Amino acid sequence: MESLISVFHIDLKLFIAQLLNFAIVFSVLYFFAFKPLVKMMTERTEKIDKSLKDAEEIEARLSLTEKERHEVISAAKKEASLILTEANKLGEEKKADLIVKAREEIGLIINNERAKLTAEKAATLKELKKEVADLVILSMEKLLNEKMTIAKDQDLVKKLLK
Amino acid sequence: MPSFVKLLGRNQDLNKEAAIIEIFQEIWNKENGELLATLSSARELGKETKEMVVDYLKEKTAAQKINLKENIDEDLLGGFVLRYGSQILDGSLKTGLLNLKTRLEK
Repeated sequence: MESLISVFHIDLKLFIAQLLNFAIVFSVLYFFAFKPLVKMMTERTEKIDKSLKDAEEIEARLSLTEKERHEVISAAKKEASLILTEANKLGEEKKADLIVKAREEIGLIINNERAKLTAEKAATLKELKKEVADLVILSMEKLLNEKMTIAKDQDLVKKLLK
Repeated sequence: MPSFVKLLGRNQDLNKEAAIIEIFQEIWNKENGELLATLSSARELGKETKEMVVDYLKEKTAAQKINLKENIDEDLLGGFVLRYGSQILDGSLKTGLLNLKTRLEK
């Protein structure tokens, strides 16, 4: 030991003082630099972990929301399609009803017009018959007034009484 | 007769005078075998024709005496209208023409 000290010219007192010095510097560095640094690093790591976890959660939520959005849109599309189909059906029914009503109204108008025409025709025919009858009667009255004699009248009465 | 008029007055039947006389005439004629008839024609029909009418009425009604009243109505045009009792025998040309007119108008 002594040879080693002598070979390397180690001053024991100085060595002990340096050891003490090192211990003091190490202690100071440990408590005031390394420990807070480790603490800070741990906190940072935890924060980053938390952030990553939050991000994953957000991403999961986002994915869920996206899925829900798709489902809502799909349901809305389905409902819209259903409403459209229903509306088309109603429209077709309404259209068919309107066509039926229009046909009925047209039929009614045609029948009314036919009845009117028939009535007009009958009235005209009646008037015509009346005029013809008046004319015939007038002519016959005139003829009888001209041609009827007492002898003919007496013959007529005799015939009627027989 | 005055008492009959008084009776009509009492019963307030004086306004039915015409009908009463008519019915009395009918009863009288029936009781006595008489018939009152009116012959309407467009012109004078002559004695022979009137006799035919009287014979016709006697045959139809069994009346013994016919009181025939004559009436000239030029509107009849020809033929005759014979009224007796409640009967009317219309053989006038006017009625014939009216019937013809009705048939033509149908």
